[in-house]
Amino acid sequence: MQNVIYLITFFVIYLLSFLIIFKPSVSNLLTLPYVKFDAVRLVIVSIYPVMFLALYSIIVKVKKSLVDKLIIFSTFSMSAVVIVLNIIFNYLESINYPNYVYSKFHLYLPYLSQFSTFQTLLIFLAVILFFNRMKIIDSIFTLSRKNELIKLLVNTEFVIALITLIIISSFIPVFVNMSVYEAKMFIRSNFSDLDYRFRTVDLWDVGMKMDFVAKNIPETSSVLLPPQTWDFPEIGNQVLVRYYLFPRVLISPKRVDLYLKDHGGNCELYSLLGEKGNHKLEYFPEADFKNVNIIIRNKDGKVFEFKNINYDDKFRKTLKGLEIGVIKYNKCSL
Amino acid sequence: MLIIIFIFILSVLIISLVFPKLNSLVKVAISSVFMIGSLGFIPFLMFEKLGIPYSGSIIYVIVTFILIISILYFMGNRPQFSFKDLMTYKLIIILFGLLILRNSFTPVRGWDAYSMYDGRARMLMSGLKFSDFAEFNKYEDTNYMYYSSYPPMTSVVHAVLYNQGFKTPMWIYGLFYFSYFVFIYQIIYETNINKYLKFGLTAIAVFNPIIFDQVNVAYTNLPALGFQTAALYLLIKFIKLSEPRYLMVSGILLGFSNWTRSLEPIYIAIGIALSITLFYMKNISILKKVVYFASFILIALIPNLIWSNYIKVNIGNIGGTSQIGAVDLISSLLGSIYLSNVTEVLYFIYTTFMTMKWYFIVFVVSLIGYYLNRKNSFSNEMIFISLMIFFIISIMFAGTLYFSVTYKWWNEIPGSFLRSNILLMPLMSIFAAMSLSILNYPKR
Repeated sequence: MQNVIYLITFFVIYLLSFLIIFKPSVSNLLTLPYVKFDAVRLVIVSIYPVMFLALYSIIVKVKKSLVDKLIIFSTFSMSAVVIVLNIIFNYLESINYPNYVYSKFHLYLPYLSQFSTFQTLLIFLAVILFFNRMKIIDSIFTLSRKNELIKLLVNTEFVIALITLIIISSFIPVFVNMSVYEAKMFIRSNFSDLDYRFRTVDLWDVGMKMDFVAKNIPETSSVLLPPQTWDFPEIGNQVLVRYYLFPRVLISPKRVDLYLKDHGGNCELYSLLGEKGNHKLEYFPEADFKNVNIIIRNKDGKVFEFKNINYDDKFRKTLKGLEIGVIKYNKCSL
Repeated sequence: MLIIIFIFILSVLIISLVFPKLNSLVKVAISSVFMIGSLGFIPFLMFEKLGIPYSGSIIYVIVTFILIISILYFMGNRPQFSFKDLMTYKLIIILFGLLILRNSFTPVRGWDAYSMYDGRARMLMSGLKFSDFAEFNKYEDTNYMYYSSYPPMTSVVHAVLYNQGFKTPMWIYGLFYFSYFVFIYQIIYETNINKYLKFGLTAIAVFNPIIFDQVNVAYTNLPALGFQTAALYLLIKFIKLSEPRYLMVSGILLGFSNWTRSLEPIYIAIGIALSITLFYMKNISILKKVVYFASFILIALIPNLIWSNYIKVNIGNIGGTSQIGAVDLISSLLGSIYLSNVTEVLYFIYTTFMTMKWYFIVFVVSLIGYYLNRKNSFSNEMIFISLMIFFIISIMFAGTLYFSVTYKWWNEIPGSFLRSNILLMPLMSIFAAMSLSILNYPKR
């Protein structure tokens, strides 16, 4: 009779857990303003101790019935499935955009990870219990055979050991993701034609752009950058761009008048030519210039050079697919 | 390359002269952080005060080290270093050797590293001084005085290493991680608990992805953590053995941590916790306690004083994230205490720390377990560690309150806020190890 109760408990818990993973909106029922009460986590956290205890008492039984074995087998095979699923979905999320898994499979990844953490813990426990047949656990936590369950629960070392197991098992999916990412980064950093100075592996596009820019602007000259806004989070950021273009003098649009006043018509002036972040075919610089030299590189890698051309709306319409460009002004003024 | 190895050997010699009795692995770890700290401190002074360029100043590091060695030798110290002892840690040495090797094939990474730490190193390479960087902001309307807002440690180390022909300085982050690992491992392994639990508590403090990920980027959080845990290890040794040499070297390493990051006032927490712990130490006289404490604080604060003085003289008041007067601080702190703000700050801290929740649970469970089963009172080390946890949390809360009324973007940086408080994780796991350890001793 007891076994049947265990079986039902496990079945219900598993059903609940899967329901929770696929339906994150359950938590909205209990979401109060300001106090973000996460009901789902609470459910998972409060159900699992019960499950552990039930499983524990089955495993420590000397004589195991067929139902016991069935419960143990199904629990651990399902745990294995959940852990593998978690790794796979985390990997999918890391190679695609954030929130990819939820939008594609309607599966809420944070809960799956939480769930998988507990499952990993379960497998850890099972390994200890099955293969060491209670001997190691006795020596670890210095228990007598009587009332071991109760003693175990009040043993601080045991509780702390459990928590460390939870923490360590939560590292596993993160490390899997990290090693995939790091392998990619390692290949990038060591097998590339790009100059070592420009191999900023986590800002690879910026490094490629700046390599092109640096080749086309002499070190003694000055460069007008786009403003530091959401449209140009990278090439508008002076301190970031200086990393690649130092020792060239960098100028923000708001200070260009000051710069021209300081240099009084005696300078070599360049400007970056870039597309705004919203891809609406709007470009920096926005103003028109007559008689300038322009060199651009498109996203497909083709380089175009224009001598003494007018930079205006007509020219900007031809810029579709632009990666980065450089404008050279023929005189020290705008 | 060879010069750096030579400096490292000198550094190991210094540490073996000062602490002949320590374990070899710990000696190597302390010498690693000591060497990197000196490479970031002495060349800066040489260049900014005497004009000796970074390519040449490494000689002066060697001269300083040899000077220290000869002084220590003539004071009657004899070095002790056993390779046999070191070779008992084969696995650790091989694993971290591989990590350092991998890092020496990794270019500098991380947005802040490009724009700040390694960016400054590239500028130093061309012969500029830190005070010259202010010039760049002349034609810029944002990022005012950006380059002066952090102390120079890692930038100087990068510049020195580039001058020695290194393609990338990333291996030092591997070395910092190695030292961090060794200190936590050693502190926890010196306690009297079950070996599986020792492994578990070390693993949660060391292999946390938030900390481990710092090996891959050239930020200053990991170097600061390396220096701080080194200082912490030596302080715990001092509290146990009350020998002043542990305290002094700890002060130097804490000073290096202030030379790396000055934003988080960890040294204040350490200072207050140490001053209270000194009260409980019975085997040294009150006069000695005062002298020890004053010299520790002085040594630890020298880098802070040099840097803030340098900024004041060469650049002026930069505002922003440093140089806050005490009166301003207290008045805006008092101004920030109203209900809606306090709840908002609490909520911010709560959500950020959800990532660390299990560590808090470890802390609380071990505390409860200690009180339920206690036979002995807190040891001095436990008093120190628990005071540190308490003061770090309260300083962080006060700091967030201050920021919440000073800057609009205060709640947009949970990631960097979390990285600023990673020291809490090893502290909580050390506390758990110590409190469980004291339960295993017979009643005194």
